[in-house]
Order: sequence, then C-alpha cells, then structure tokens
Amino acid sequence: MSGPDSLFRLDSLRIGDILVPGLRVGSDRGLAALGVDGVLGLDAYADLLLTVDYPAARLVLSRGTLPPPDGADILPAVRVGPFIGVPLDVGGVRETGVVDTQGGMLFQAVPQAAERLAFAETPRVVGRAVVGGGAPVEVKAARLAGDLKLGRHVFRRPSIAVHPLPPDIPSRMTVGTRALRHFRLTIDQRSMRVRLSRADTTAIAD
Amino acid sequence: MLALACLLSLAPIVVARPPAVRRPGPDSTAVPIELLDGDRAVVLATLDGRGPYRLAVETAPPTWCWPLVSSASWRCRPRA
Repeated sequence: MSGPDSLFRLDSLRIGDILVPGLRVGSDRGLAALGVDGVLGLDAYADLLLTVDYPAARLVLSRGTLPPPDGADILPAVRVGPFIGVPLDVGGVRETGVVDTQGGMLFQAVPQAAERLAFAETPRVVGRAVVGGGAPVEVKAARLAGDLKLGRHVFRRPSIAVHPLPPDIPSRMTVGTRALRHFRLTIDQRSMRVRLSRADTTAIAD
Repeated sequence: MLALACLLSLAPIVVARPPAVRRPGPDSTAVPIELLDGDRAVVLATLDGRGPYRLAVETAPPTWCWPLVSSASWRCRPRA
C-alpha cells in the first residue's frame, strides 16, 4: 500500500476550525527523524493566509488577502522554484531569501551568493550539514560587514552561514527560523505577498 | 547545532498540488504552536478525523512523512 515517497489523498485535514479537503500527501519514512508525525507543506494553506506568530506561539489560518506591498512590513514574494522568496538588502546587495520555517539557521547563502557579500571577516568552517538528504557539505560562517534589511526590519551585522545546496533547491539565500522567530509572519500565496510584523522597531542583534 | 539546523531545512519534494475544492467554513482559526528547538513551529491537526498528529509547519513543497500511512487501518487512498 505504501512505501517511501508513496502518494495518497486525504479526505480532510483539520487545524482548529479550518478544514482542508482533498489534500495529496506523500509518505517518506526517512523524515520521521524530524521528531514529528508529518510535515505540513505549502499546499495545505495555498488558499489561506498562514500566520506563524512566533512571539505569541500561535498559528492563525484565515481567509482573505494581504494589502499591497509597502516595502516596510508587507513585501512582494516571488517563487524560487517551489519555494517562496522575499527581497533582502544584504549590506547593500540585493538578494532574494527563501522563507524557511523549518530551517534553524539565521541566514544562509550559497557560495556564489556569498562571493558578492562583504563580510567582517573571512568565513571560516563551523561544521558540516546535510541538506535535503544530500551528501554532507562543509558549512562556513561569518558576520556581515553591514546590516541586513528585510523591509523596514534591520538585522545588525548578522552571521551568514555559507554552504551549497542540492541542485533541486534553487535558492541563493535562506531566511531561517532564528530570523523569523522575531516576527509575526504571514504568507499569502494567492497574491504572493509576505508580511513580517514586529512591535519592537529597534535593530535585531542575533 | 548548525549542522542539525541545516539538516532540518528545505526538505525534499514529494507531492503535487491537488485539484481541491474548498468547502465553506470558518474564516479564521487560531491555535497554539509548539516551537521545537525554540523556533521550529509544530501544530496539532487531525487527518481524516484521526489524531491529533504533530505536524511541522513548513514553507517548502508539500512533504508529508508518516510511518502511519503504511498502517492497514489508514484511510488514505493510493494515488488515483
């Protein structure tokens, strides 16, 4: 009936009072090591506003749409392959960062993107990582010489992890959960907008 | 720690988008989340009326992993 990467269809997925019918799901026992029963992907909330309110430890699913981008809290989103990216100002260099709610880093750049960035010191090896089930890769990291801006939100000289990604992950930079945890994050896949709101307006030092 | 963080990021692609028809229902719901390792969101959900199950809230392609799917009592249907 099933095996790795088998596909099935659920009659219903219910989170709180929201019901999502007819969702196709995959089975991959290799991901059981994540410590959860499953992984909720973008399709589950493709027609909803997904809000992950990190400070309040709350998830909100709602119907509606985000207002147009204002360059401050509401940013235009783009598809980066199957992922969702938002514009970044990385010490004056424009990049697109994939929003990764399960990536435990602050910010990540592939080596080609890192070559364009000005670091405060030469990136040094801090460990190895396995991404997307690929072979282990060397991870370097260094603090940026300048600040990173996500709309109006400023990260003060953040540390950037530098390592390659598998070919099927086309992103150049990633915004991880150590960055997202400061925000109430809302993703509107229908209008391709992302809102990052935060009561504190001071720069984030992490 | 960083290696583990990267391990947990950007999971592989498994599933395609269904031709789903949304039924009328509530306009909004708010539920608590568990923050694994301090910042990885996990939410409780029921699947085909069963559960609750702990599901990671991902912004990657749909990737679902269940040993449970292999259960003979599971109501999921093989791909049409």
